[in-house]
Amino acid sequence: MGKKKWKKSEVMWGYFLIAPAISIIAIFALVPVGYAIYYSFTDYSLFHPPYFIGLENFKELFADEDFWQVVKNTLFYLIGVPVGLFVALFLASLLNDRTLKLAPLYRSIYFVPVILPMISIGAVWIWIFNVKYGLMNHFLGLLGIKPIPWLTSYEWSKIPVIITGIWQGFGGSTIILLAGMQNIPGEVYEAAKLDGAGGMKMFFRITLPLLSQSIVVVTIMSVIASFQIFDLVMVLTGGGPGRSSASIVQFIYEKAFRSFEMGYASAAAALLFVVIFIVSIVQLKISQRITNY
Amino acid sequence: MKLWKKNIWKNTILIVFGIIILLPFFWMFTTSVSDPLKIFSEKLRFFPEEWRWESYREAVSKVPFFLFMWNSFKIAFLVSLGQIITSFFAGYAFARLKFPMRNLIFYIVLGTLMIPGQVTLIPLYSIMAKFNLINTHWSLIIPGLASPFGIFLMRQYFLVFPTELEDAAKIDGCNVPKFLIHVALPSSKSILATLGVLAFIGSWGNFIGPLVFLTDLDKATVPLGLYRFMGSYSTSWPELMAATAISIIPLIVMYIIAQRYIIEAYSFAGVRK
Repeated sequence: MGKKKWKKSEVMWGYFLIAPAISIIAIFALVPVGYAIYYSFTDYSLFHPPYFIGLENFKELFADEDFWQVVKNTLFYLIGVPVGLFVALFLASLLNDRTLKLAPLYRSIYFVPVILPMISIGAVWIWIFNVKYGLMNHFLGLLGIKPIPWLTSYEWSKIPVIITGIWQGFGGSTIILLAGMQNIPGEVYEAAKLDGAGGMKMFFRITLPLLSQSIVVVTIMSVIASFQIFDLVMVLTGGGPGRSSASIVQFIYEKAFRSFEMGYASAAAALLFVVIFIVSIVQLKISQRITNY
Repeated sequence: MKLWKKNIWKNTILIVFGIIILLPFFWMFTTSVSDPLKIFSEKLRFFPEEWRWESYREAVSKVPFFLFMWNSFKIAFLVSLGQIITSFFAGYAFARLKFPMRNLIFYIVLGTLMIPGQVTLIPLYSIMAKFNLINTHWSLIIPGLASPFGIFLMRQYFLVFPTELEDAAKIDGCNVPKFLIHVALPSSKSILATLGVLAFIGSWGNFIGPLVFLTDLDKATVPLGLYRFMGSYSTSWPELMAATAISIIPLIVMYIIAQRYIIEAYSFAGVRK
């Protein structure tokens, strides 16, 4: 072990400059994670301090039908991920064209919903999905389809959430994928063209493999966003009818801040964290394997 | 000729998706200027027979929308300012200064990016309750004053920041604070603006935080206020659409001004991860 020589003034300034950021992150992110883990093993409510009960919360969770219902709903919401990815890939490959003069304009328009509050977006879409006077059923009516009770039926209630989510997010994914495509050197395509490769072949043999890094990023981001879905559900359906569209985060929120079972809610949150963590690790490993081959 | 034809079908598809994005906004707007009684017709009407701005007035008189905007603005502004300052300092230190445990601390900071906000929400609530900050805007401002993403962004920036500038400044007798303020700050204006805009957007759109921490209606932020407005029984569709239009106008204006930075930062976030 070689001894490192630190410059005293640099060390001092270093700690001094990171201090504000680090103390905020430590107090409001790191310490809470510790507490969250601890709470998940306790019986804790606003009305009494936490006391340790071991794995009771988790046992109770696994036996809780409502919990399984929200887990199932949340997994169902994942359908939006591949659909959104497909739309974004399609649009990005259309936009990746230097001869297309209007490309920046399209890009800017697609991106608009990404920056808007989910609650505002939901407010607009709840009106679009109105069973009698909404835009959606108007259009379906033109195709001869009978009005669908989007927000008020057990069978349909998850679909508006997925559609709105895709509409809100595809612009963001498109931009990430487009940036990835523009990073692929033009010479690769030139060489392929000389070898007589056609557009489709180039897309599957060159664009897709070289884009895998960006595709993994987009997938991770959308899977995580999908697991954390809350705002859209709250505003569109409130989780109903019944519990047919309630999400995991909504379950956590209601347990913690409506019925004040904070230990129980922490256990659900801890499970969500573990799942998200595993998903990120698995997808990172996949992307490493892809880039290393 | 062939190119032109190819671009025709490309443009058609891209325009269709553009319409898919813009139509809901258009529909929101036409509803907001329609008569509340006339929107309930079986016939689809894209333009109202007469424009009626009443709903805007009714929406802002039923709930204090301008107050919500002020609340949101105040919180988002302080959060972005805080993130700009803390990230600027920490990003520089992590990239350019050598001190014990530097990398370890940086990786821990990066690790916190993986923590979903819902996990820390419950402990955060107890912390805020302990400090008597529940139902105050501070409960939303203070935790937002630093961001791992901002630190990461600024560190990347300073890693490629020309060393010559720093060396020259040092020869001129510039110490760390002087260098940061007189040399680094002026040249990193645009990345700091980007970071600020992203923080602003994130803070403005936050819903679960205000929902949990703020109880009084006059403390509510725009999304929370809109949510409460939807829940009140006397809200008509034109009023709700008017309120929604009001709620997104500040962000749309900001997007038009800072669009290039926002999109760049977003693709950066994607490519770098």
